[in-house]
Amino acid sequence: MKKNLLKVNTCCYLIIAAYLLITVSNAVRSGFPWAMTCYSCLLCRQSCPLGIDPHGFISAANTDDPNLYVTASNIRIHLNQAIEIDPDMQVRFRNQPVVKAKTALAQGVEPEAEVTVLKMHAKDAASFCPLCGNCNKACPITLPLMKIIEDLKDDGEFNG
Amino acid sequence: MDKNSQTRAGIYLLLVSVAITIAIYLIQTQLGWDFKGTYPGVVPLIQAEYTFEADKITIQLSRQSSVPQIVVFAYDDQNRQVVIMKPVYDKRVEVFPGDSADYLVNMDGTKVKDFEILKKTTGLESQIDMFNLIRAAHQSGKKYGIQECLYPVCTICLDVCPVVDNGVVQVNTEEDGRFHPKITIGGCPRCGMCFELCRMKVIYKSNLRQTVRPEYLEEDTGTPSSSNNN
Repeated sequence: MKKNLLKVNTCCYLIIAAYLLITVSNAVRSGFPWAMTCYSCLLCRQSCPLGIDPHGFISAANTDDPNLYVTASNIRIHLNQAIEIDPDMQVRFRNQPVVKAKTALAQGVEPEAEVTVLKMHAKDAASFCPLCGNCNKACPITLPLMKIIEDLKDDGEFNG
Repeated sequence: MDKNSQTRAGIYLLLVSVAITIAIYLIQTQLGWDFKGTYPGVVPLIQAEYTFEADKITIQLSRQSSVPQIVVFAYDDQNRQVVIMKPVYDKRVEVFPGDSADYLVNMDGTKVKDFEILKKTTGLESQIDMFNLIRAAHQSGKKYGIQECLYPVCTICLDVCPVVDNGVVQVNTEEDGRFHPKITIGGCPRCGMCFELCRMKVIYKSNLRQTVRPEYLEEDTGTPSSSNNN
């Protein structure tokens, strides 16, 4: 019995260790290992004039995935530009329900119509960010969030 | 060393100096490399013409804005600057009914007290309809308009200026209620931080010989269609 429990414990330990290893290696690969120290207080979320969720950039860095979808509720663009950037971007036209950009076009919204973005790729959100630095100021542990955004702004990839 | 050798050495030295000067000039002007030692410039105030229709307000800009997004504002009854950021297409901005404000600036006269982001999270926002607010401001004679500077939400030029206490960089409230930076060249250490970091491109790089105007200013159609109606 004891031996069986030991085996189960060892398996659990190995699974947790593998998970942590993958998480750490992703964060290291993105070039922003300090992003793991974010404890998700989400104070930065309340600071962006464009309604971009800066915590989304932290998540993107932690997972080394610039295509992670982040909330960006105050970015307004033409529908055709939204489709050009990402047809799966979530947008809202006037007070209609939130749909993907390509769905909005299929539903008859004019390509030149102005839509409000709700969710977009982290790399695309970074391209709209005015780098005002409010998210940096809001962070209680002074994580340099703007470094991630500046990195994504360059070429849409994590280069560290 | 005879006199001829001295003359030749002098000529060679002169030629080398000229070559170095030309090389530095070419690097600075042709390659567009940034060097410390250049003064910042500020773009002129953008002008606009407003057309009020039942279902939209159209704002025609006098020139291309410095960035694809521009600040549209109106003052409310409590003298707060209420702001929405709108995209610019073909020098035109449109405000529709239901467009919610993004942030507001609490003012004490012409001084900024603080600002408040209105859309804290999706679905949990205090909604101020900018369409109605601009129309109300237009009808009641309150200030409304457009601006390119994101102050006071963005204060990066003031944050990085090493001599900001001497008033080299100031962001003033203009008579029409908008914020626009002002640079006083005297006392500017030419560190270049303000124009390097101004992402709204309101502050740009200039130099001592001539002002290096941004490309979008070169495309200026000339006289603005009209000033805003503030």
